[in-house]
Amino acid sequence: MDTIRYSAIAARSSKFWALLAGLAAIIAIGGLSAHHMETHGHVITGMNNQIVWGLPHVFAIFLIVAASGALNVASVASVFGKVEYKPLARLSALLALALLAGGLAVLVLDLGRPDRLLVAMTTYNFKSIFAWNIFLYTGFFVIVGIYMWWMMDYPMMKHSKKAGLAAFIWRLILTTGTGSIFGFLVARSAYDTAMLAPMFIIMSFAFGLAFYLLVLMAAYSWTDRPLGEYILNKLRNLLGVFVASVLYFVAVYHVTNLYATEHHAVEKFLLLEGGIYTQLFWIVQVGLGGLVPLALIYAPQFKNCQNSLIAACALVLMGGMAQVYVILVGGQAFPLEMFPGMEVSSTFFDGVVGEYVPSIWETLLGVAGVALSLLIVTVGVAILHFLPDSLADNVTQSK
Amino acid sequence: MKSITQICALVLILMMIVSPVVADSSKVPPPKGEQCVEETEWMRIHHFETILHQRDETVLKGIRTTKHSLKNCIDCHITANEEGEYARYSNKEEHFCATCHEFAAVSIDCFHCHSDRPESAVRESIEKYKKDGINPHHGDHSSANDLILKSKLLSAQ
Amino acid sequence: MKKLVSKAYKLLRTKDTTPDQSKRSFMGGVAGAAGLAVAPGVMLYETAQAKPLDEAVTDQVRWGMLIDVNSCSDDCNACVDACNDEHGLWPDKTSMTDSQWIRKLTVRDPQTEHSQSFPVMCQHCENPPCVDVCPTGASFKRADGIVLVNMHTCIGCRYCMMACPYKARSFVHKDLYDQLPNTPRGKGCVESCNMCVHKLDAGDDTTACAQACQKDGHQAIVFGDLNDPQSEISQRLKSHGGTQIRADLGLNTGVRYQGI
Repeated sequence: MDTIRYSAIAARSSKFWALLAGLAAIIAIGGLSAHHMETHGHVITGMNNQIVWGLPHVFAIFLIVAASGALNVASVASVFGKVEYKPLARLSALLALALLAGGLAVLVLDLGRPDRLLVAMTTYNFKSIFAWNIFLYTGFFVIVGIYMWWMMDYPMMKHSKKAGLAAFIWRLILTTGTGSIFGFLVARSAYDTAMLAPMFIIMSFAFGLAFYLLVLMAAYSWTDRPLGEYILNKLRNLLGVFVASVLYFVAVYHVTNLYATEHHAVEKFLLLEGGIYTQLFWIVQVGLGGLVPLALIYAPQFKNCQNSLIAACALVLMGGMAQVYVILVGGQAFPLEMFPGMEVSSTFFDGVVGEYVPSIWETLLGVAGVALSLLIVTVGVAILHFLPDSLADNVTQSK
Repeated sequence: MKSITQICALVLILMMIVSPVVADSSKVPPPKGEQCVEETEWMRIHHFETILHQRDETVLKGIRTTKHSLKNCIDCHITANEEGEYARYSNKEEHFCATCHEFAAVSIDCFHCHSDRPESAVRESIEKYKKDGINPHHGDHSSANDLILKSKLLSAQ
Repeated sequence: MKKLVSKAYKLLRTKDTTPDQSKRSFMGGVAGAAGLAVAPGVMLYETAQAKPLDEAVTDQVRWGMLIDVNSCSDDCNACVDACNDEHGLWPDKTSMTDSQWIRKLTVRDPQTEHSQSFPVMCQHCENPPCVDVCPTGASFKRADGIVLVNMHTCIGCRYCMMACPYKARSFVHKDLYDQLPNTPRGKGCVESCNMCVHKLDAGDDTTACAQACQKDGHQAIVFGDLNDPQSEISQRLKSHGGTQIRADLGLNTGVRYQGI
């Protein structure tokens, strides 16, 4: 294959600086929000003793899951030997680190005691999957950092496959761990299932690739570098497979639950009577985030259409946010079933659907996390040689 | 004409001369008893280690010896002033812990959770709020100082 | 085990000349007298269990609670009020963010229209899910079975609140002031019923809620040592049984109910 030339983007235009300034402003506002939350306590947020994890966690889990999946493109090249994907690998690693950084920033800033982050990083209860996740996230930074280095440093390039394999295995464990955060919870009717771990893995594939495609198309379009249909179509088809797989897992999860009478209450809530959760599930997650992107990807009239791909990716991400919201917040909103079949009431809001309305503070914090990820990518591609000069068909196809 | 460096040096030296060498504890009401459970110098150097060690012993193992118990430190060291009031940690001139910590600029978060006054003082405050119709944990997110001010205003009426 | 612990502690112990010594011997004397005065085999007074202040707790004792739902009355809140007073909690009943360590639960069967009410608090499980999931180990189980939060290590992630099947835990959403010295609590940490550890460690043999129920309520709550077959709670459990809420989870709770 012809040697691919990589180069940093020429960061001179006012558009570039405007983008950086805009992202930095969003991050600053998010930081101020977090400070406000820490000073006044979570009473200013929409979270309460019934819904303890809210929009910041939705953003955080979404970004962390996407981070793991963003590395997929590089893994396909390094681990599965598909050389056409090799030129895409460096950006894939950068995006993975950036998304993880953004997600973790939001997660950490929402802690009740963020000043105790050092305690969290040094004191571990290894029975806790959450503790394992902290360990896995920090390890991810190290491993993907090494992988990125070995991909870009000439003397180390021959070893990059080993790093790629290590990164691949590490992130499978990491995403299994993220899914297990919920899957291990015996208390809640919507969780407590081994399904969540593999579902999160397949979700990561879909969200990560959607993010990757959007970043790739934006980067090449805004720097006037050629991006050919060949590579885009490969990624497009891959995205289609992943979106379909996510729908499959969601279907199996719910159909299985529907078969068991003991789960009928929570299924009725999520699928029928959950108000906002039901709407998000059917309209945004399944419809806009699943079926519509599949149509945009596979329908013959959209073949080779870049705009439909952009729309598909954006919708997948929107559907992904809705999916995480339904799992995370919807799963908490459904009351704990301490006495199945009984009507329960108390002064502590037992037996009633939890109320949650996100406040502006947690929304700003979550959005700032996304902005942080994008800022890291923007700065990264401007400093180091992440992007190939050209991804035109003649370059990517010449094998 | 002196150079900038010389002027800065002079200012710094002047600041050092006029700044206090020790914390001003003149307004702190005297503690109970004849002496502390340990020597003063020892306490100055070791009190935080002692507290950090003792807290694990107490929380994890239920060991509550009175010698190094934080509650007992407070009971002895935080006493009432002439008006019968007990200072809170936010009162940087009258609270025993606050005077030194303010001077040394070492911020502590013990009193975010732990009571900075003996139980009798706390219970008295609580009764007062309840009588005045203020829920102690409610309403404004004002600092404890504001509450003191508020209760002073209410009692002055 | 107890020998090892006390030996280890002797290395660290400082000479304590406070009134504790005299209190211990006094209590010991009373326990002896009580044991003699009452019929053999029936120890009503739990002071035999009262551990000295300077010794670590051991697993010889397992604290538990038995709640007789049939005695518990719908409109009585003695236990809740006592807990709030003991620990300095002042929840506004309409607030979704205030802490409630114990609450009265009303359970109604829609088919039979039978309704019951009883207090629910942290169940102090033997296999607590909250302890399993805490990333820093702040949520822990003490040797004597009490499950509590070490506020010095808690980072406020609220994962334990997600994991608890009994909704026992509360998160402190705002700055607090005038916390009671016996119950330090603060913004950003998670808290729950701690079986009045400060009372138990000081030699008391009951909790605020049990005490209030005995005195002002309907004598529905019994507190005691589950490991002691002679204790009132053990005897009552033996004769009349007791169920766990969510027994299917296999948590072996320290709080049992009769009459659910």
